[in-house]
Amino acid sequence: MADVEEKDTVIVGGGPGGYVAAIRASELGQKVTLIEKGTLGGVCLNVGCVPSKALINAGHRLRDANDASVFGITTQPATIDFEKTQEWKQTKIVDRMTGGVQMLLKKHKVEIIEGEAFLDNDSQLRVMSVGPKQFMDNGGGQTIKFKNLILATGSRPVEIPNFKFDGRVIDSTGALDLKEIPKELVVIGGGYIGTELAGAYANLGSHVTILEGTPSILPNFEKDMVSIALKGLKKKGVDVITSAMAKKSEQDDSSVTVTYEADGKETSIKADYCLVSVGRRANTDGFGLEMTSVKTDDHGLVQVDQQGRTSVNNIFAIGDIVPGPALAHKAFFEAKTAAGAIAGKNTANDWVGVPAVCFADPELATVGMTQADAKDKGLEVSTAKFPFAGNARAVSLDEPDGFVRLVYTKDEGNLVGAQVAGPEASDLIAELSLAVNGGMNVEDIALTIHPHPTLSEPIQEAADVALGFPTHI
Amino acid sequence: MAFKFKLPELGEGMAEGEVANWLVKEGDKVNEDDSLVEIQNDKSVSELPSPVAGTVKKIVAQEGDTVEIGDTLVEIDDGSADTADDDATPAAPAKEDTGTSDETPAPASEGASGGVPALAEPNKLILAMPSVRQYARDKGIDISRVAPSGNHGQILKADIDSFNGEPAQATVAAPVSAEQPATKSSGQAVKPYKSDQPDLETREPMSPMRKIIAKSMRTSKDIAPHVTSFDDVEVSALMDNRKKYKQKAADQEIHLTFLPYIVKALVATLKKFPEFNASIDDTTQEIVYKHYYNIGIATNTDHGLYVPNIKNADSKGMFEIAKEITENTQAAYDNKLSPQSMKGGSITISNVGSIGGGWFTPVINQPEVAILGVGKIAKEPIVDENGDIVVGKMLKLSLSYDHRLIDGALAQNALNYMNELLHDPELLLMEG
Repeated sequence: MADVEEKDTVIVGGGPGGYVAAIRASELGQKVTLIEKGTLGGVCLNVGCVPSKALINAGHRLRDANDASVFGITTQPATIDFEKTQEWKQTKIVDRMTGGVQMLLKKHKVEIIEGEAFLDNDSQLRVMSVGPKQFMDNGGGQTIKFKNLILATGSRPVEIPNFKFDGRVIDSTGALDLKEIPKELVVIGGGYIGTELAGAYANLGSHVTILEGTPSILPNFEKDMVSIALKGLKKKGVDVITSAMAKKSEQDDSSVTVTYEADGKETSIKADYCLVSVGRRANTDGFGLEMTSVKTDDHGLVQVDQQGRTSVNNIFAIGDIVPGPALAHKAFFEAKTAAGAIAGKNTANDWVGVPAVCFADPELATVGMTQADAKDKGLEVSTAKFPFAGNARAVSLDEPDGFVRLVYTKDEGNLVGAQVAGPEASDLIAELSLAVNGGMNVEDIALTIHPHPTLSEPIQEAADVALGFPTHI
Repeated sequence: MAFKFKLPELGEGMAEGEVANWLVKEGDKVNEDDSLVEIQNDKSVSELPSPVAGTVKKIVAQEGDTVEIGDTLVEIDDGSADTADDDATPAAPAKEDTGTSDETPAPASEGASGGVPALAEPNKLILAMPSVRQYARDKGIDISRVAPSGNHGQILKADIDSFNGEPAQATVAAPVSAEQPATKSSGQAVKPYKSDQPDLETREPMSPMRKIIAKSMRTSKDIAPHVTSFDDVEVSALMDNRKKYKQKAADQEIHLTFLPYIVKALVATLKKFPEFNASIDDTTQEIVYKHYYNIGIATNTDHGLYVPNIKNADSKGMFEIAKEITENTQAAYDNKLSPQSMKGGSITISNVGSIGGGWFTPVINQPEVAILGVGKIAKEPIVDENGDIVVGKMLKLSLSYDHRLIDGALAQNALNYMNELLHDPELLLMEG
């Protein structure tokens, strides 16, 4: 049995939540130890947000190269060497970004332990090191007593019956790491992950079928936004089948046959791969959480207060294992709050709205409340919408689909939420997030000069609509 | 190991208080229910008993500190084990890390429910820049309770600075409570008392109650331009009436004084002259007319001056009022008056007649707009309706009123009407 080591602030998990917590805790003067069993950067940098954007971008380039006739450009059909695409994604993006995280942690003198943590009780854990040498040196485990602990263990894809992740039935990680572009791809689950990857592979040349169990894909977005995304999917030949139940999968050497039931009849599709993206499950199991007094809720998520503190005073939890949307930027914020709380700062997770983005074609983004949310809260709100079709920049990009919508109170025009469907919605939502979180009203936006000609103008124009004096509509 | 004793709810609408006086010191042993500390707010002084037995480990809130409900006042080592719910300190290295800057008790170490104030109204739309939210947390202020002054309801940093613990919706009392004691106001210079012969003088700290009275009186004089009208009224018939019914009252164990008659006369006067049953809202420049008749009786005790009021005196009989006055006086002496019994007054009676006083200039009990000073009943020569000089029994009345709302003629008319009622108890029976 190795000696017990005493540590100051220990963080389990080196994903977006964990590594940001480590940096902030270090900046606030704590001695920080970060335990990571896989690769720094977590799902987000390695097998999630970032590599998926790389493939989506490659898909856009290929699509644009072959579809520029509207600009008077004709090309020989462009081709893609997908191996090179994947190499670019891995070395120039994933490796570079995760290397950057490592460098940042080093700069902040964060001790990184490679291994898997198992909690013993409210103040102690063991690390099973992954390297054989350390494993031997430590007699199978290193015991650490911590003053404070931040749990940032993240989430993993959910499996469904008869679709075990194996071979040609793949999760999002597998879908990002394919060696070839599938000719035929079935995507089970039309949430934002499924929709994004379906769009990416469709742009790369796959024929894609989305099977969604509910009556609509992207259930977290409003109908008028979903219909714009659907239009984009249809344009590139994606079949979207809703209210469809995936029943079974059968694999052979070169294909997988997916059987689903819709409208009371069973149908089978033979495909190269079947991506199952029906949701993610919090990683609250398998690391001894039950050995502590940390309480979880009915959904298996860790109960935390405004600062991310669990029912155990010196144990914090952040990111996908606590309630709220499982998004990296929410984890970033919670990471800073928790690190600040440990340092005695009066931090709090008191955001007004967390933006959410789907990189569909075109992109969808929302922040704060929808009109329906506001009504549920008893607020008297109005909405104002401005279409990208009225925006010179969007038209010149040949991307006139979509709109900006503001949701604001009837009395003072206070912005409580906003939605953007359209080109670069993911970037445009940032301004609206600032306005919602800063408690601005539509007049504040209307009286702010937005640069011309840009995609940001519809935000100001929507505010003008709200005030009753629209210009370009 | 340490029980953290936090400021409990002291009464309706009281979100904070000032630590007036510690009755224990660090290291003292205390039993359950031993008095620990005196907390003063703008209504009264409360002595807080210890909920546990143990040793005083650390006095967290110092004398003079303003504390809010939920703030830790003192840590008492009661021998119990640490629990997640009541003690975060051992886990949080905040104290060591922040070192010198940690003069004020760090709210972050206050308990598992979070070191930052929970929002009283989590569903309320709060408009504030994120930095202002952070600023409020740093000051330990629940931003949902702060009244916004910015455009379209934005809460500004200055609003956090001027927050005084009152709920966001301004009450008539707001201008009063917003006033800071002179010693704390940064803008106002407070002059020290200097003397050539300090040897012949002694200094004693003002008691918390004295401070409250000083503050209230100064506030009232600052706010309201006082005018006092003096009058006297012949009350032989009233005295006869009282004599007649005194025994009947005593049979019911009721002590019938002249005060219930004056309460009744005042109710009738307020009904006829509603300006006397009003308050002024300075924030909106509105006159607030009250449709209830709660008549305050200033009550002097050995530990301070209290003004409990007879609630809805218009719906109570003379004996009932007499009984209530006696009960309130006893409660005041026993320090058992509830804050509620001193709130929501219409007008106040200050009686110095029972100890031989005559006319004087009483100070209005804010936020009311008038106060009736009652002096002694003196035997004086008067000229009766026949032109004869007779012995009159003259009650001295002094009516102070807020000239912002009440002009001299109106006050005199009200006083005249009250005189009629007190002169003729049968009329009082008709109108009272």
